[in-house]
Amino acid sequence: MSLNNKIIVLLLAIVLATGCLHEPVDEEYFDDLSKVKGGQKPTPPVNLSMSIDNHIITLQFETDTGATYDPDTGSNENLYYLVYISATDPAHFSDPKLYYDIRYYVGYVAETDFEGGDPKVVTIQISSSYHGPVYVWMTSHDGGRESDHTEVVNGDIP
Amino acid sequence: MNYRTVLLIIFVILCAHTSFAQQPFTFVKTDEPVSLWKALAWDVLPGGGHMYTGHYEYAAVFAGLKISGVYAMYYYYNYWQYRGSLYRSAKKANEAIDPEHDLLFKDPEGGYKTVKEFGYAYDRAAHYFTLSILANAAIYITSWLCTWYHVQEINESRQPTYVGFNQFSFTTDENGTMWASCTMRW
Repeated sequence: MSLNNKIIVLLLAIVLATGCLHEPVDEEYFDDLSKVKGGQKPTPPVNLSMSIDNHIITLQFETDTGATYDPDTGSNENLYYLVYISATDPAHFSDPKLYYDIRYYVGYVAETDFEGGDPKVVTIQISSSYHGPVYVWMTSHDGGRESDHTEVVNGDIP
Repeated sequence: MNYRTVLLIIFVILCAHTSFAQQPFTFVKTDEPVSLWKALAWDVLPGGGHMYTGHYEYAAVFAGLKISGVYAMYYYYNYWQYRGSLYRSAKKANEAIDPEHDLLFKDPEGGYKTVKEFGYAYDRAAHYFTLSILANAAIYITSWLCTWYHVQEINESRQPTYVGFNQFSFTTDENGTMWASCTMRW
């Protein structure tokens, strides 16, 4: 191999080697909703209410009023509705993030699970051994982002 | 085969080729003992110590390993800084956009991560950088040990030697007395 070819190979190796290096990103790199899964966050269900009968909690809420939607799609067809429950008043949570904590999460229903319109109804069976207060709230989820929570409804299981 | 493996192979081939293309030479006269400290000092350079002792195959291998090792260290230092910048940017953005939720940010390397997961990736990058430092230390120590062994091997064959012989002679005088003499020369 001639000296020129050696130099070319060496330069090529240096270019390849330096080209593979990662340059740090600036602090504003993620200040861009296109880099956030779900884009803009959806709005939560409205008019949540609760009734309790023999350890069965029945939740009623509305999503077709136009107030519940995903701003990225303009509809609520892709939304899931998450239910959270607590035996203590969430108003006393030390951190607002606890409203969305997995320890209070019960389950979800999809908008497409409901055939009719509003109000939508979800029932939750509570263990017969539990007696005391229950606090329930809901959120919407678009597969990437979760909405703010609804107002908290509460009741007592005798 | 990922690009890191390709780069490693390119470096090893390049270093081996350029080393073998050199005319053989040595830095010390063949009749003089090799200085261990000079050999170890030369070995700071990729393959230097082995070139100094005339072991060109070792020089090619260790030159390749050292250059790759230093590049790996530089690469992982940059990668560590890069993951750190992603973590700090995601943390700042999460606090600005929606502090009550753990947002999922698009990782440039694929998939989505929360701030906490970006933190884990940042820690992993720090571990990679630490490992690359340890690997370089291991390469240098191995290279120095090989150089030390070669210097010992060379110097053993260059120790000053002393040639001696003994001469015994027997003589008899006119009285019939026999004399024995021994001459030792060094």
